[in-house]
Amino acid sequence: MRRGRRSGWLSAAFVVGCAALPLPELAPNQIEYWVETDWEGAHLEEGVRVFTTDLGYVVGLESFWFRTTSVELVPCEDTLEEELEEEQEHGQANDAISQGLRTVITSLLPGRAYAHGSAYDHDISVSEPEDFDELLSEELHLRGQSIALRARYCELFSVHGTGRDQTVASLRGWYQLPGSDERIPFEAEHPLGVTDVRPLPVGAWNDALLPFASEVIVTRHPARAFDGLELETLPPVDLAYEVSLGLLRSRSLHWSIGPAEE
Amino acid sequence: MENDDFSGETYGALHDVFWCSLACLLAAILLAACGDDDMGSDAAVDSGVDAPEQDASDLDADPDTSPPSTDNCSGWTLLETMYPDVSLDSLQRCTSPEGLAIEESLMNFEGIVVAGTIAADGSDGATPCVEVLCDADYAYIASNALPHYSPQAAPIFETADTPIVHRIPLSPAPIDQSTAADSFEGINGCDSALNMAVTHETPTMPPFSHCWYETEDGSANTGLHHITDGEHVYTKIHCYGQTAGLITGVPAFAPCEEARPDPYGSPLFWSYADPDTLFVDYCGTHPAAITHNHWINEVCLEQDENGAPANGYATGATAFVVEDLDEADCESESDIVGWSYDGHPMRGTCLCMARADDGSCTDLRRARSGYVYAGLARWSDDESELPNVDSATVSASYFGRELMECEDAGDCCPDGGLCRLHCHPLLVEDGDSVTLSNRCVTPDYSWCSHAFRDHDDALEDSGYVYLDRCNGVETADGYVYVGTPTFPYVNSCFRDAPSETARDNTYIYLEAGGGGGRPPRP
Repeated sequence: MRRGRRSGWLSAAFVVGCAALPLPELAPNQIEYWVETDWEGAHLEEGVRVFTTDLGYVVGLESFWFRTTSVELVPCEDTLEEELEEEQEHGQANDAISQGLRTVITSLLPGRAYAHGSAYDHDISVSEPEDFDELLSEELHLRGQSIALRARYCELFSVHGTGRDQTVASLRGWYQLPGSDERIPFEAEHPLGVTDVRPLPVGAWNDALLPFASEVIVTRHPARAFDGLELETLPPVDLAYEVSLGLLRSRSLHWSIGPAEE
Repeated sequence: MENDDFSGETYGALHDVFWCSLACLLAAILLAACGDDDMGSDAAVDSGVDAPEQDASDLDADPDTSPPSTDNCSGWTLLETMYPDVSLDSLQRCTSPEGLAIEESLMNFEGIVVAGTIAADGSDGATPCVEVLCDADYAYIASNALPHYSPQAAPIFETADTPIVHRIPLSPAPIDQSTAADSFEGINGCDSALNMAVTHETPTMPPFSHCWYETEDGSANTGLHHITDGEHVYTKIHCYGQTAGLITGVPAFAPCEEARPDPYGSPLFWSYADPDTLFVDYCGTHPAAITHNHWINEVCLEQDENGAPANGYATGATAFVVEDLDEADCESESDIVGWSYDGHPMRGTCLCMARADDGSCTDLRRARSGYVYAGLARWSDDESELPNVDSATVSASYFGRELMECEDAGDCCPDGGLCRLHCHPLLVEDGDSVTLSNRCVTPDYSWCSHAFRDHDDALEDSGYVYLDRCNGVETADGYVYVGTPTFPYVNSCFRDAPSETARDNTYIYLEAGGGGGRPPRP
């Protein structure tokens, strides 16, 4: 269950560790990724989540599974350069140390994108749960643990891929056209990977966490995932795919960090 | 080195254009309808275009040549930067049959806003645009290079509004056949490619000369701009860069990526092998300095009766099955999916090779590339001074399993380690015939791993038509290029003289993310 949160607003950037610390003291910091579902705007009818979309469709969801294959933090732009420049300005690291550190960090941490056709190199903070989440439940689930070494992270990046069963999302239910009482059943799934990059919001202090340990909570709002969709126009595979995108677009993030000092 | 008279020093200016695009638009919108009705041009080559039908009332009426508003498509802001000899107020609506055919082919994006893409003003949710205007010689297809969906390639880069104008000759003109040209048969450098591939060394530039590349400082290039098979002189395409404008306005790029991640190889193998890599999506699209297509998926480009996109991304993506796209089971003709820079259209793979007097198609065939996968290891050479290309070294490397039949990647790389082979369906030679087969193949150096197989008769196999070196063919309606599911995927050279867009390197050296003035994603 979610631990209590004593709030204290930090800067807009997500700070793991402390950028002011001497670089040699940068130690791995624990990061936990949690997911939960918020059914605000829906009511429960005999196990079915029922809600109305912004276009006036009434939707009843009997099941909704969604897979997360990886989740990770994205370092802020130029973080490494800023750290090294700051160290050199303060004389806290000589050139040899900086060069050595640069080598270590760049070998552990993600490469930046090349100008054109490069692959994405995962950050060391990546966790690869490869799990489905059952979204009808409102329980909070731990979806991965990792370490985070960079001084500043700005975004959360997740990939929702296929896994072994070639399914990314699967949902079953019914909908009613605006103004209609007829329930049109649907059963839809899709095998197409989707991704999401989302800026991290202002965070909070959390005394329940170990020093510098952090947690990110992803809250999904399935009742908003159908907004903007003209459901009767979508083949099942497009329905499942568009709802997946809607689920990512409408999700919200919270993060907190343990106290900076013991 | 060959001098280049339009070597595309426009990328620096491109950034400026982005930042002042709104101001430029306001200043450039007022167009004079100059009433130049001399729009005809000498059609030297069959363009492969069916002009839209006009009824008598259309012909009697004064054609409306007043240009439409151009303030909703950022591509126009780049017109005079890319083509200094043209101004926006010198262009008109297209009225020639060739120009009208281009106009009619373009996607109608009206009312579409794509969440997850970055608009010209930096806001979330862009409206794709593709518009065309003409002068006497060219059609100018302006676009912001966005498809009708948000490409789900891993977010290495934003999918951002990025201006481009494709200059398409209204009448294809032949290449001067006396032009100096490299030879397809005498290509050097594939042994060097193999040498680097064996040890997974990243090249600094293409080691071969099938295609055109020049370093940013102009100090090195891949030879001449033209290439010949001994019978015809063609113009090379970019080794990495635009080869055609699709009906969405998104550019088709050369069959290869650049030096990374698969050196001068197709990103299709990797993306097809592991859909979760999300490097290029299954419509063949991925964002970069400019969003572009590495291959064509007709279903993604299908239009409804209003010219609007007929299918969502998921329907299109799940239809991209290489084996299905090679079946000799065409039931209807493929539509135009783009326009090459020499003026010929690009179509999907079902081509009409003969028509009856009433215009109905009497010989509908599946187009197959003329290229087969022949292996990068075939460039091994025991006499070479290169350290890694002797047959023993090559055989001992993962290339020892190249071209093996396979069911999955485990058959190709059973021991793990350095093994850059995928199990991928593609065309291979099988005795005297060509067949589609799952083989262990490397994605690297596509030009060297594939070989062109000349067919005495392009129609020799029932239900199929084999394409030429440029991935085109003379159909019942003229010459067309084809978007194929196997190499080279798009046009691989220009049969006729291309416009300047073919060699413009604006987007090759443009920093990724510059399109929207935003930094790249990591």
